[in-house]
Parts: sequence; C-alpha cells; structure tokens
Amino acid sequence: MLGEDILDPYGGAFKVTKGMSSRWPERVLTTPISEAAFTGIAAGMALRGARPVIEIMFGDFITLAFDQIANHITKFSMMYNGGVECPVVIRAPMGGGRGYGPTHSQSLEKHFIGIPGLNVAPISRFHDLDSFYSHFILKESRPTLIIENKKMYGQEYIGTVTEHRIFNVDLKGGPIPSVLLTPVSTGKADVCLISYSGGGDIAIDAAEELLMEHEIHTSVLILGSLSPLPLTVLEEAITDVSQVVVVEEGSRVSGIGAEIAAALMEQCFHKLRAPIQRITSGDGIIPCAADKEARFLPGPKSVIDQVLRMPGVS
Amino acid sequence: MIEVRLEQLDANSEYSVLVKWNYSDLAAVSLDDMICMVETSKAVVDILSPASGFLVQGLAEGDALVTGDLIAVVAESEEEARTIQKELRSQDKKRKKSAQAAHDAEENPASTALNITKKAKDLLNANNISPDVFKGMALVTERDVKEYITKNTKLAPSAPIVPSGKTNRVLIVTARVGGMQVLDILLNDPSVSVVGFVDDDPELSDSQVWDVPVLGTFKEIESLWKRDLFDSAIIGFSSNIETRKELFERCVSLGIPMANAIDPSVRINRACSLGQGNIICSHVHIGFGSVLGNNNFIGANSSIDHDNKMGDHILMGPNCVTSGRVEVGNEVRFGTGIFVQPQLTIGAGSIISSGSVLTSSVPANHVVKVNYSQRMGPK
Repeated sequence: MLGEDILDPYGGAFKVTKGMSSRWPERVLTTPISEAAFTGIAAGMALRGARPVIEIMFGDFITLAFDQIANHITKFSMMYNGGVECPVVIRAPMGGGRGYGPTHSQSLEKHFIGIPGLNVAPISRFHDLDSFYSHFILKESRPTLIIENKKMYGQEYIGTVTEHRIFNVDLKGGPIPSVLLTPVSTGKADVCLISYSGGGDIAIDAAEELLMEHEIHTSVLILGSLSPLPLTVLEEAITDVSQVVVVEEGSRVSGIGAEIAAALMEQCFHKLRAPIQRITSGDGIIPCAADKEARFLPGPKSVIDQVLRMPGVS
Repeated sequence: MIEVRLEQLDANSEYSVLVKWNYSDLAAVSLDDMICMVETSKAVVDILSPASGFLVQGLAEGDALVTGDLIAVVAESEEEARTIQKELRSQDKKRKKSAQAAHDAEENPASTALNITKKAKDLLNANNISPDVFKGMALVTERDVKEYITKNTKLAPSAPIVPSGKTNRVLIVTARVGGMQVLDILLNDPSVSVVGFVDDDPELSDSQVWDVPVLGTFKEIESLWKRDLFDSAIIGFSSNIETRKELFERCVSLGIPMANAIDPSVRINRACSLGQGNIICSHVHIGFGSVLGNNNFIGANSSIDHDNKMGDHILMGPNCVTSGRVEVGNEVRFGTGIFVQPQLTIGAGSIISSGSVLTSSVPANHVVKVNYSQRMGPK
C-alpha cells in the first residue's frame, strides 16, 4: 500500500488506511508528494509480482499519474504480448458535496474509461466490501482504478441486502455485480435510473419520491463496473421501461452517460422507447459554498424534474 | 444551564458515536474538563465542558448522534441538574417508546405504518376507504387501490383486472368481424394466446379463423370456463351495444375475468385507468387522467383527450375526437368522424351520428343527427 500521509497515527486524509501501518509497518509505505513517482513505483512492483495498492489522496490528483496509467501500467501486458502482468490497484476518492472546491471535488473517472486494459470499478454502499476489494487486489490480472465517492466515508454501510426502503435489491452479473433496485410492490418499473457509487444515493432518493409522490415506478441500477460496461446487465435493466436516465456527478460532455447511451444504442436500440437522458453536474468549476455547490452538482430534484418532463411515462 | 451540542467536527462525518463518558451523571465538572469522547468517521474527539457546574448526560455510551444533537447539559446547581435529568429521562422514555412501537411494527406487519403513495392516498380518501384494508403490504399504489375498488364493486364482484404481461389464455366471444378485430389486436401480444372463439352462427361451428378454432356457441362459455380452457374472455361485437352488454354481463356473472385488447400502436398517457373487456383499436390516443369503464369499443384513430370520463359499453367508430374533460355515460353510440368540444357531457344511451361536431352537451337517450346535404350525380 503506497500513498501520501497514509501512516498512523494520521491514517490517510480519509482514514481509510488507519491502523494498517501499525499492523503491517513493512507493507504500508508513505510517499513524498508525487503521484507520478509512487504510481510508477507501484508499476515496477506489480511487474515483479507484487500486488500494490495505491491511494490517490483526492481523486483530482490522479491527473498527475495519468502518464503512468495511460502509457505504462495499462500498456506493459499488451506491449510484451502477455508476457508480463501489471495488476496495480489505484484507489481514488472522487466526488463533491463536501465544500472542498474546484480541485478537490471532481469526478474524473470519465477520463479513464476509454483506456484499453484498465478496469474502472466504482464501489457503492451496496457492494460487499470484502469481495469487491479482494477481487481486484488479489485476483485481477489487469490494473484497476477503484472509484470511491468520498461522501460514502461518512455514511452508514449497507452491504448485501435483499430489501432497501421501498425497493427489492438484486445483484446482477459478475464477477463484481451491479445492484438493481426495483419497486417492492410490482418489481416492475417504467423508468430506469442508471448510476454508480455516490450517484446511486441520488437515484434512490429520486426513485422513491417518483413512486411515492407521482406513482412513477422507477428502478435504479448501480453499476459495479464502468469499464468494461456490463452490457448484459444494462440491457436487462432497461428492458420494458419507457425511459432511461443516467445519473452521474461528473461533467456532461464525453461522460459516463454518453458512453452508456452509445453502448445501449449499439446493443439494443430496438428496446429503447425514448432518447436516453443524462443528469450531470454543471458546466464549470465546482463551487466551495455549500448552497452553490448543491445547485451545481446533480441531486434528486434534477432527476425528478427530468423524469416528469419526459413524455410517455405512465 | 448550558447545553452541549455536537458541533460539525470535520467535513466528512454525517454521524458520530458517543464512545465514553468520563464523568458520571450529576457529577461536578469544571470548565474544560473532558466530559466525554465522540468518534467521527475520522477520529475520536474530546468534548470539553463549556463551564463549571453539574453534568447531566444526554446520551448513553454507544448512541449515534448527528451534528446539533444534545450531548449533555451543564447545570449551575445540583438541584437544577436533577430537574433537568428528570426531564431528559422522560423525553428519553417517550422516544424509546415510539422507537419500540416502530420496532414492533416492523416485527408485526399487521400494524406496520404503511407506505402509501400520494395518488393512492387521494384515491382512498375520495372513496372513503380505510388504509387498514392494505395491512401487511410493503407498498400501496394507486393500482392497488383501484384493484381493491374494482373487486368490491357490484359490476364485477369476482373479476380481477387481468394484469398485462402475464401469460393469458383468452376466449373471444364471436368469430365474426368484431371477433376478428380482437384477434388481430391480440396476435401482436406474445404474452397472450387466443384459445378460440365462441359463436352462435351455425355456419361458423367447427370452423377456424386464422388458425384459431371456433369452440362452440355462446351457451358453452360456461362449460369451457369450468373446464379451465381459458383465463379470460373478451366480447368482440363492435356494432350492437345490447349484445355486447348482455354477453359481457353473462361472463362476469360466471366469474370470468374480462381481458382488454389494446393495439400496440395505442398511446395511453399518464394517470389513465381502464376497466375490463375494452377493445382499443390501432392509433387511438388517450390523454392523461382519462378514465374508461368496462366493455367499451374505441375505433381506430380516435383520440380521447385528457381527463375524460367514459362509462361502460360505449361503441365509438373510427376517427372520433373528444376534447379535454368530456364525460360520456354508459352505452353511448358514436358513429364515424365526430368532434366533441371540451367539457361537454353526453348522457347515457345517446346516439351521435357520423360527422357530428358537438358544441353543446347531450342529455341521456337522445339522438344527434347532422343536417347537411350531399349531392351526387353523373359527371
């Protein structure tokens, strides 16, 4: 485990590694402030058979490691024709809602879903933490970028459940499943909201209000993988619904929603009954001030308004 | 007295846990004594006494708390502390009682506080139905209430609405043109299998229409039903209201659920409701909030705009257009190509002839004829 300020007693900016350096002092290494350097070090360790995990203190800083990820970590295996593996796991806290401002609140995962050879996996409150992390750290041969929405650090963990509020919860696909929530009464939905990580909470709040206030049966799919996209799971989730909305915290253009919409059009155009809609953050920088930030980032209200504007939802 | 409340300790924590009290209840404390420890998602934080006095604990060890919650009170005198303690304890008891009630409700679904959607609530209130009838359900929607109302109405005491999407064996009553119209619609629905027709026409007995057999006469509906050969029926007649109604009521009295036949090109908007046994032909539009009763026939290309209320056994020819908030009584017969202005009422049993443009309401049992001349002769 490598990263900045991850040793005890501080235990990392979000305390994810707290206690680890006391228990395994030789395996938890704090680094100078150079994402490029410690990501490169992790690449070398992985090439020699280690299973390194690196922590990007704030996901925004991953731009400093972009060269290592795009030109090295993800290239080695293919450049050496499978002769080497480079299974680095990169953990990156993304997302806003905390008043951290323009350079500590972004959701930059969209810049990584198009890099061949890289898994991009967002953890949610519904995923089993143990199997999620152990899969990527111990079993994957490809490098992985794990997206942790930083709001989740302060929230209660839900884990694997069969019911949540007014929804049935099902795990779909694998090895890392996506989570499908459907209204408990019918199990059927007229609108499907697709999201991941912290965006799932926005979608669930919106789906609950749409059902309770407007009687619009809405399901929520919380993706377990952004790259590769679980296309079979996506197709199943949108089958028989009138409207599909992708909810993401990142910016709009060339975002996760754009990729999902394009993939679904290629895969199952005939199943779509209306254009796929995207709910994203605004076009600009994320403000520090709480009220301005709340208006800038997507929330349940923006999802509900979008669904109510759409024709043909009954 | 001074209240000690949980401040926002860091930017990440939405809730914290009181880990340990360092002073017991009613103990004397001095300014800046560390009275307790609170654990956030980031760290354990010491909570200091804001004054000298007597401590009243507001929470127990292990309790979760959010920003702004009361942790403790520091009273000026021991007496004041005892009064405050009493007050907090009684509040706590009440809170625990309601928490226990909520817990009991969860254990015992019969007393669960129901999740009822807004529309369902409105419908329950409008129909004076107690929500208690839905005890034990995880969620009550408008559809549940409507189903309840349908089940408990006189017209169809034992005929539940056939939910769409379920495999459904359907019997069509009449194999003549109306029945063929229904078959033509139902063949588009892969979840439906049409098991056959019944018809009194001796020429049709033992014949087939588009590979679907005629199984018997109208009399044999009952025996076919008792042999469990179909799940629901639909009346095909599209020209005679009386026959439609008579056969519909005969089926319902046998306890047969009546199927709707809705062409896939039909557009039904939000908040509409539909009874049973309706035939809705291609490219019909039904605007939001409209309500259709049972056993209606709506001809192709007709448009029923928003908030219409349509009764039962209505026959509507092709290309009929009603504007918003029109009300149509039972057994009204529309011809072809009719326009109805907004908010008009057409009374039960009336006949509106083809080409009419209605600008005023029609009382029950009236005929509207159009007075125009059409001349024809050799070129």
